[in-house]
Amino acid sequence: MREKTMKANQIKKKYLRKLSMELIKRGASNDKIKTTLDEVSFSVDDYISEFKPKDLEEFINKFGSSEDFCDNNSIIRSKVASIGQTFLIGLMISSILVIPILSIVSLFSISLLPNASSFALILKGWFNLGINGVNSGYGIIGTIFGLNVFIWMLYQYFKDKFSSYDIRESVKGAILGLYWYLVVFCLYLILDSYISHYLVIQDMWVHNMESLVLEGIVRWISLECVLLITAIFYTIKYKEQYRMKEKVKRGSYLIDKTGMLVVVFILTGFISAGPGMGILMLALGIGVFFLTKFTSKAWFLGLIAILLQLGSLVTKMIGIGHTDQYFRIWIIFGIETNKTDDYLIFIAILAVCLAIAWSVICIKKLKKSGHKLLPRLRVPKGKNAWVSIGLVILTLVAVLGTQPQKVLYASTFNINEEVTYYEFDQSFKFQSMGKLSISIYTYIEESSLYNNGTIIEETNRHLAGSWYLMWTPTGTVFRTFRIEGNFDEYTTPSYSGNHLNSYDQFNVSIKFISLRINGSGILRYHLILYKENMTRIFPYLQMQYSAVVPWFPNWYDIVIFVCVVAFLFFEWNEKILQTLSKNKKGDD
Amino acid sequence: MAVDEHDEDILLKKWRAQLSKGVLEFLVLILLQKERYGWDILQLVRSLLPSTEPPLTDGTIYNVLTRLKRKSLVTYQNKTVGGRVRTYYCLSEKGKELLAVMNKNWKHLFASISEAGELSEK
Repeated sequence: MREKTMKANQIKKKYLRKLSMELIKRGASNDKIKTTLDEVSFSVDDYISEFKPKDLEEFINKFGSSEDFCDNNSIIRSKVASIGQTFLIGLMISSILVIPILSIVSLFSISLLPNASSFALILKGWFNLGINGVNSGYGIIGTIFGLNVFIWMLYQYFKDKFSSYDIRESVKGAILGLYWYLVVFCLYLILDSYISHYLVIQDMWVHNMESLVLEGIVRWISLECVLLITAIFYTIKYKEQYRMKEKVKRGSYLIDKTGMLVVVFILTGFISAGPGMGILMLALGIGVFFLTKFTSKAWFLGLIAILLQLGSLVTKMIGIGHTDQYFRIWIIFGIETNKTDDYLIFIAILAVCLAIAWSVICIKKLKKSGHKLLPRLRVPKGKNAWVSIGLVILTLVAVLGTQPQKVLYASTFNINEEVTYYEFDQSFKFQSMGKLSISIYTYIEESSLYNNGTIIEETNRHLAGSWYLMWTPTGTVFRTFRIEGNFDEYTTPSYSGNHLNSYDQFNVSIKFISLRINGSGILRYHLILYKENMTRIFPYLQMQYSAVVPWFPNWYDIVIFVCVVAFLFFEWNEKILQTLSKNKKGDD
Repeated sequence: MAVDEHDEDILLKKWRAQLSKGVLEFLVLILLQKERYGWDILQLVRSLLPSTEPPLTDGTIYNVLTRLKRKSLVTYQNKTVGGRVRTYYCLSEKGKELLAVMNKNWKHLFASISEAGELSEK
């Protein structure tokens, strides 16, 4: 009996999937597809219970094919609508693929030096935790949070669009899968940062920075807990929905009921620069703009998202070249630029104009649909109260602490050049007080075959050269310092690294420095390196700049926290109660 | 301008399709004045409308029955006959009211067509 029911369900599912495909092909609207499939499902149930077909073929022969159904119901193919449906499917697929593609691409650029991979052009390694995995983590909270919201937004967006019998329904499963992918990917990144950079952790521990290491661990565990708990909740809800074949009860969780468009914009702020990423996000943003629902929550989030772009303008400052010249790099709507201050003003004006335009559109739409503009306080009760409090605490722990700015610079030295040594000079400007942690590394790539196949003895491989770091204040506090050292203190046996193809790759820890800056100034990094027996060497340094109050979250984190509280404890998108006697004239 | 055979065929097909679609629900409602089950209705409709466009599939009738059910125009109950579950349908009060209106409209339409024919013969 049970087997027969299962078989009947399979026939029904397969037939309705075929029907959904035919309807999509003919360019039927999403509403039409949904109502048709839901209606036909009842007919199929009745028919199967009465005639008990053996298989799908027999069923189609008698009941009629999906094409027959469309012909009988005058659903005629429309070229334009068909293109529209294809576009929507393309958007769905690209929305889903973007997460794994970008994260996998980022793994290539995660390698120890950013210039090692051409993929860095697509996405500069801001997934790159590196030392940050230990030392409070630049942007990862925002990035993961953004991706988390993005994925769940996708789910929320598609959730009500399709009938459960629609072939596109499977997109929900894929999105949920992506969520779990994110949980695992984040876990991998966290573990990798600790495993790959154990030398840095060791450095920090030796230099009395145990609290930072422990802080890092607590933060990552918290973050992973947030992701894991929400992933479990979402899976339970998804399964419930699938089983009950009804809409998920809404309103209990942070990222329910929100518009998708805004998250795309938020992401461009959270995920730091990369031309590919920026353009992709803009394209998605524009695509979704035409499909989103205008709600008060969407207005609120959109406003924050657009204004966040202003904050991205000044997040990176690096110096470059052999002189003290330096310039800023801004991230504007996800795209990195190094334009002048005039450009900054132009973008600031643009962002404000966008925010105003967005507000005008939303307020007009909300008023027309009779929704309240502002939210109302809502105290969660029972189980929801505990879940809400738990989420607030976890988010608080996850966002607390400094989000240091990171600068990672690598210089390329190629053995083929006809010089015996290299001189390198790099300046970095810092504009405010704070804590600066610097790690000097040298990445080495050695071929065991060198110059006409002569094998270099391991004992002959060593670094040779010297470096110095110099701080020159530009503000009112005049306190300079200079620190220097040699590269040749390090020989092959102390290297750490791995084998890749026919090369050996090593990452050599040279120096770890932690200092407090009392005002603005320029940090200069200078080095001279002799090639000696090395095939390729890439000296680089990695700096992290933290705010002066280490536990105070940066403003992105504050935004995240405010959003969490706003969505958990406030009621959004309420309808304005209208009295019956009210004259409705002019409503439309 | 003369209509070629192909165009004529298409026109006829379209007209038949519209006619079948328009009359199908009406016919089913008439049949359901007496309690019937799906297969029974299907056979009766097929015998009454032998050349519909496109040809009637089992699904078409069942979809009509679902639509009527959802609009509460018919009542239904499951009965087990010879080990098989059959759903028996019958007109609801709402369905009877609709049928009365449809009958009236149909008579009007029929009268109008007859009148048009008579006018052309004069």
